[in-house]
Amino acid sequence: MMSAGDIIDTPLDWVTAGGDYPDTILSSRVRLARNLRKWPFPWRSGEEELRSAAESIRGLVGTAPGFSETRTLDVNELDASARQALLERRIISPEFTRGGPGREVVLDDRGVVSMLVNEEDHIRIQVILGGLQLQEALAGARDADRALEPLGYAFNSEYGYLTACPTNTGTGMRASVMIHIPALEVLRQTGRIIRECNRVGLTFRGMYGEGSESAGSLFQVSNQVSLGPTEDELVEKVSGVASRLAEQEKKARDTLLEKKGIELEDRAWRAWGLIHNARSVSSRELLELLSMIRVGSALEILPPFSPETWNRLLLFSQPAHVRVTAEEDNGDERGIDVLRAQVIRRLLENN
Amino acid sequence: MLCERCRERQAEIHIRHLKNGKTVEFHLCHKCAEDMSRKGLLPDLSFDMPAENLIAGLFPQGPHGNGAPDTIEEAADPAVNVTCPSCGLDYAGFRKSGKFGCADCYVAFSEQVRPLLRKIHGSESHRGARPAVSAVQDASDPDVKTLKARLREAVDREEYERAADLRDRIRMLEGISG
Repeated sequence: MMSAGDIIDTPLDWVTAGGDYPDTILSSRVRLARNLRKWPFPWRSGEEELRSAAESIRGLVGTAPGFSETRTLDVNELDASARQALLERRIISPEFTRGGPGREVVLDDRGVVSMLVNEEDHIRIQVILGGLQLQEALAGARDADRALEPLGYAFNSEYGYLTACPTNTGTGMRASVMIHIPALEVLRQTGRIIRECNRVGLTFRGMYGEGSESAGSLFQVSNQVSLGPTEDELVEKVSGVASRLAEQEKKARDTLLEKKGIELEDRAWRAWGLIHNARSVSSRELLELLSMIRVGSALEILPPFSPETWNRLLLFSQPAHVRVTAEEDNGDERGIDVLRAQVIRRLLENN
Repeated sequence: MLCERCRERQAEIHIRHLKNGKTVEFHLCHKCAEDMSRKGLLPDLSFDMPAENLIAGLFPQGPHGNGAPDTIEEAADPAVNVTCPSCGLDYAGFRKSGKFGCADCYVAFSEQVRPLLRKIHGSESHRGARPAVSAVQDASDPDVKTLKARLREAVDREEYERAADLRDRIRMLEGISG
């Protein structure tokens, strides 16, 4: 079975960046919820039914084109740190880390498509790509969806795909974009953005925090409704708003540079100094440093900093990733913040 | 400490509220605090409620409204508290959990499903992707006759967008069988 070390060695396509607006948009994600007609939804299923559903899905995944290069992991056979690593990679949900009968994770070898079996719904297909590439992510999710169709989905021609929670009924789709908007946050625009997004049926929320503030200025835009509009219409809406935000952020950065040039320059270089030299870094501090460095490098105050390195720092500075990466070398028993600083410096040296 | 409003339950929520330069304190039970907040007597409090409870709030309310059981007696009455024949989930359970138990629940609770979906999504008809025809053999799918009845109903109610949608689906189904 896979250890946490094996898991953090598997590729994640979005980390290599790409897509539109690489300066501001980190990743694009499409999730499709599907259920099998044959069994009750997971929360109403008994152990046997959950195992049978998982078995039939596993059988098809092994043979379907596009799913040939995958591996299936039984969550119950993973140890706590392996589960934590999958959670930090945004592949599984916090609820899924608890395990349970028939709960499995399917990973493809490119790190693009993943699938959860027996979460809230029988099947959750997920595709994550770098930058703004929602259309491409939807296309990838659709391919996986078509491949699994022979299982016999719970579908009703009036309501669409039937899900356990009525908030997912219809397309069963959630399309989301992770976006970095420090300048708009400084200019106190996030409250306005939340209201505008709500008005057009989108949700805007902080990745690390609540309401209009978020550590590292990382936010997520996603569709609120899943029934009525088509998948393409929903993706177009999320994509349109995300690109508009990316453009507004660019303007806001220019405004800040104009008004607070030297202050911005100072803060960017301080962040640069800290990230390369600090001997103890909390996860919150790292988010703030990364935020400053991303802006500083986009505004050419700082030397170029590749989005891939940035993404790796974000990913590998999370607790399970830090512990696994650090322990492999020297089994350091010191605090996590010290280990994190080591991991950061090593990633920057190899860059 | 007892709740200073109902004086029955334990006060679990302690609020210090600064109003016109004066500090006012409240010691309330969860129920009273929620109630006062809803009535606007307290500043907006965000209660830490699980998402399914919020969804339950969108369900059609009784008495006897859309068959929703409001009392224990009603819940025990099979005419009011419908049970899904496939998975055994009853309407009271559906309302409490905010989740469907299986595909057939959508049919069993059909009276409530439509208004519920409308409240959540502002729509009740799916226009997105469909499984390939060969993969759909869903007995719960309405047949052409049912769809035609719904079409007439939609036209009567002047719901033209829905009517157009229904017409397309009827054509599609007729195209397949004919």
